[in-house]
Amino acid sequence: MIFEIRHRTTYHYNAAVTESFAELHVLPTDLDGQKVLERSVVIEPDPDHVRQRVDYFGNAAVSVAIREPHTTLSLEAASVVDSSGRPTEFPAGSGDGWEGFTADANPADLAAVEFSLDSPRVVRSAELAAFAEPSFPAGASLEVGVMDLCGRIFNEFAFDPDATEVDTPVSEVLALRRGVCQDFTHLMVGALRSIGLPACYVSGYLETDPPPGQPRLTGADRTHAWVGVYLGGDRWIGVDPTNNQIAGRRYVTTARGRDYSEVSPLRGVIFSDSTRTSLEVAVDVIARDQGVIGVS
Amino acid sequence: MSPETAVARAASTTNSNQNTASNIEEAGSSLAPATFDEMFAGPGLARPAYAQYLEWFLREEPARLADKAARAEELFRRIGITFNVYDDSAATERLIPFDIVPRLLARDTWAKLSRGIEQRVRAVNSFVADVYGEQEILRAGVVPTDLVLNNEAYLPQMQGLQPPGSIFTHITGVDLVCTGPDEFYVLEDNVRTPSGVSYMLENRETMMQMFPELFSSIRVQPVTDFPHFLRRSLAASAPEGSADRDGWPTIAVLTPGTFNSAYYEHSFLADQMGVELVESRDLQVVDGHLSMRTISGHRPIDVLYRRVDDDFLDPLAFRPDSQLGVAGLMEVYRAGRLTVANAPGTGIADDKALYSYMPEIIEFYTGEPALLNNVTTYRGSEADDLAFMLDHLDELVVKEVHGSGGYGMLVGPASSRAELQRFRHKLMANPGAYIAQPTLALSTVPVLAESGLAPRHVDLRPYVLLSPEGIHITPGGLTRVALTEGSLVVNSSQGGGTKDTWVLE
Amino acid sequence: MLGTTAQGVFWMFRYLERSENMARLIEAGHRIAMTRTSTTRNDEWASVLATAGSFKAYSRAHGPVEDTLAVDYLLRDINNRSSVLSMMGSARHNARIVRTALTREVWEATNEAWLAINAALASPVTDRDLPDLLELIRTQSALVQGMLHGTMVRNEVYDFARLGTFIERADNTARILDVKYWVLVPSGNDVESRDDAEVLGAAPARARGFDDDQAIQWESILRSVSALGPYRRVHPGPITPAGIVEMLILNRRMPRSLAFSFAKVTDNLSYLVESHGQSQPSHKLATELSESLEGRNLESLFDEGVHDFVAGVITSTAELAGQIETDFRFQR
Repeated sequence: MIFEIRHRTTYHYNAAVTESFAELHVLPTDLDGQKVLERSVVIEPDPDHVRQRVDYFGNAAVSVAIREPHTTLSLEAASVVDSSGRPTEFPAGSGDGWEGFTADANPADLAAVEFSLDSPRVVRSAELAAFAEPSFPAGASLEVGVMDLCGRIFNEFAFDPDATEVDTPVSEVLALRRGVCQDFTHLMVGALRSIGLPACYVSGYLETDPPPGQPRLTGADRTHAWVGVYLGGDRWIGVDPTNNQIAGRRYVTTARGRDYSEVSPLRGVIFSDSTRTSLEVAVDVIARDQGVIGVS
Repeated sequence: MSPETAVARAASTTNSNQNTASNIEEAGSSLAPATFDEMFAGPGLARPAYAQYLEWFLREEPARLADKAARAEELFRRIGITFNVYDDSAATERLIPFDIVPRLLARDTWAKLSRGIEQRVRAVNSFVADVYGEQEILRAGVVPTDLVLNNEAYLPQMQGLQPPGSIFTHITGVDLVCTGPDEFYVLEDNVRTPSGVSYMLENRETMMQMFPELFSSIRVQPVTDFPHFLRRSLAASAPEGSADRDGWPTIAVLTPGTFNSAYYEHSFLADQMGVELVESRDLQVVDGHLSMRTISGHRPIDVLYRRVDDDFLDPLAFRPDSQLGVAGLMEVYRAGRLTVANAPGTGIADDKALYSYMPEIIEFYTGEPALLNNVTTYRGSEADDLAFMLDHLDELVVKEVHGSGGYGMLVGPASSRAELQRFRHKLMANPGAYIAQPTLALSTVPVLAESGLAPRHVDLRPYVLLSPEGIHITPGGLTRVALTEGSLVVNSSQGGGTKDTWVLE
Repeated sequence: MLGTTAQGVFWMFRYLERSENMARLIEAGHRIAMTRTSTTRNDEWASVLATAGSFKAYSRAHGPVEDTLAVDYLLRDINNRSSVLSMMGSARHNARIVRTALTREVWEATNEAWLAINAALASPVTDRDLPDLLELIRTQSALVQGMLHGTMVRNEVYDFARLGTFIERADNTARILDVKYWVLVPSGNDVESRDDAEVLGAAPARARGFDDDQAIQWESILRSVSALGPYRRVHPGPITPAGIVEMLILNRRMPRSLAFSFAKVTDNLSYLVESHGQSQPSHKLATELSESLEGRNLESLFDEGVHDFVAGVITSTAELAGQIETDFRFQR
């Protein structure tokens, strides 16, 4: 499938901002089997400096410096992505026992080790391990375990945008049993890591309007998040606990990191007397008319 | 002339105004038998390196020396060479006590030592470059991966960054202790922002001013050219193509400000190098360059010798609440338009948890066994080691893995039962945060006490400059001395003093 | 040169000058008070507090003016940002910030001044010790200025040191005149008219002498700005309002006069303009101020009204200082 994605963020300040520096993760890149056909970002006011680079985790990061005084800052990222190469199921081999995928079993695979350790926002714990364990009896296949855990989060936790804040810790989400996609993703990543399985945080988009006959998914119209489970050999599979499914071809990845703090769409510093900032975010993910593109 | 004859002759001319041989004897004999004194081989018996100095010392009038010591203090106070003590709101500026008896190192001792230092410093730089590059050492399983990647000092933001010449640790301060003739141990490799070099320089300046006659009779290798070498070394590390109209890269020293404990040193080094001393408020990223605000506009900086901790360098990349850094600095750095010395994330190499792996690290990168000794280290994170630590707490020195400056450390043999008990609880509550080492029999060098010469424990911090051009090791470095009798803690924040260090020609 | 370095040097020398001026002001107050009864003595300290811009803050802290309290407040109170102790601390703090821009001699003199004055002000100063103490403050300040002259290259750092010194000095001299202007009113005028600046314009008053009390006051003030001797040489005969105005405002050779101070400010700004090749608004402002004094004769000054004129100078000085800060990027 080919998606046209438009991600517009606007900040309004109640006093002039004299300088603004930001790092953006809003441009998809060729990760998780997807192919980026076009991408661009437009920033107002005109930045003093813009540079795009590939960050440590392989994501496209854009650094921006604005030195013109402004009270409104708008960023519009546009891209066209072909998602048809994204995996829709666990590959052959992942039916083996989950223990073979842990960091302990693969000490020479640095990604396996790195993504099973603590990260700034996800700290392993005995509670999280206890939460994961029912899904992973000894010898169970990785696929069965992961999908069972994903289903449990989907069934046992309520989607509730008012229950948590952007920085609510995982332990609290576990106790509250409610939250949003970011919380469920952190929770699942933490649970997997706590039993030694490497996992990452993926941020990205979901198709806004579903094809006829298919349900509109939670998290469309905004940026979404899901879990990347590491399969070894630099292979990953996306699993979405908010919608209880594989993050397949209706998904587009923008960035992968150890947790939200490393892939947040915008991280910035401003110099201003502004006391209030209001933020508007609009995301559109529209499937191109397939007849026109000619992709089946 | 042999040392014995020096003492004998001096003793024969003794009069009431001179240092008597008997108080020298006292100095030599009050040592515990296991302790190595660098000046005295036995009561009244100087080791060769000190023969000439002692001869001079014995001829000096004690009153004149006491007067010189007082004048030295006056001099330091006037210069304002002070440091700030944490948790001490009453007096924020203090002098570090200075002892006028120099610490001498024989030429051969130093030659051997500096070979070991060079090997170690080069290996440490290779290690940092590897950790933020190919990670071969992790793949080879020489160092546990989680110890590096899950370390607070490890900065993923540095991954893939290639500074000029692959130099990450431009300035290193290696903490050494001596335990016997030519026997040195490395206690710590300070590769974040090692301090103290201003004391080394001011100590020498003061000694030359007070005892010029000594410098004409004893040939001492100079250290006063350090700022020149520092500047050269930093300039050689500048990004390619960065030279202003004078043909030199622009260097600046970044300080957190006048309230920082090492502010004196920051301003001293900037002054001695002839470069600007800047604070966060002077800096901005302009047109993709780190620039300082001058009275006539913005001027780009090529090399930033920063004395601000990693976490605070760039609120965008690290701590968002930092007031001490510059937003966008890391972006300029990544774009190859700036050299940051030392590179952020170098702290991974002086992490106390990694210290015990240093011999393996050195061998991995140099292909040779380590020349300098590493102290046996027990890790609280490992069950066997922890059990040993708990059983032998009264014999060990226990340190916090991430602590510095002598805070939060336990010196077992010098602690009361209650202190041991308290520490035992801390250790059990969070074993991974601690490491332990056996107490070493640190050498002593005499200080000038009221009663005459009295032995005190010392350490040594030579400063090492690394650049694409090469390596420079200061002959000697900073000798820190525990001024309390029997004490092993030399940190200035804990009542330690300093001495001038002479490497003989 | 960094903008913050310029700022630090500028303020270091403002504070040094200000603390020296404070010592001079206290000295004048002390001399005048000695000639007074205990009640009018306190009035004199009230006027010293007013000149120092500290009257309101003092009243909030201590209530009615009382001589020993006032002296202590002006010298030692660290809660008073304008006390000598606070200002020496601020001067040294700024010196530490800009240490790399100073010669070692200037830094050490500043540090020593701070150490010495701190030690001298460690306990309350008795009446008996006051003259020696004020002497110490002036001497220490002179040592710093002397080191500046003797060791500093005449570069931008030097220019900002001089700018700070003379901006502060002009402000101080103007403030003395501002507070004491009513004293210029010769005897015989109605007390009710004291606040009426027009009185000063009344021609017959200018040449007339002061009464004894006024004469003592002016003598003390002239002495405190090191101008009593020169005054007597230039103006033989009794002290007159015209003489005072000539000496403290218009005289171009008197180092604490307004004309002298603004000429120095203008010179130093000219050097800065020279080395940067572009003129700055502050240079224009200073030149105008300086010229307004240069072309001035006594008559026209009295016609305008001395008080209004002095009040205008205080405003212009503040404006000029602000413009210097902007022109040379003291702050972001």
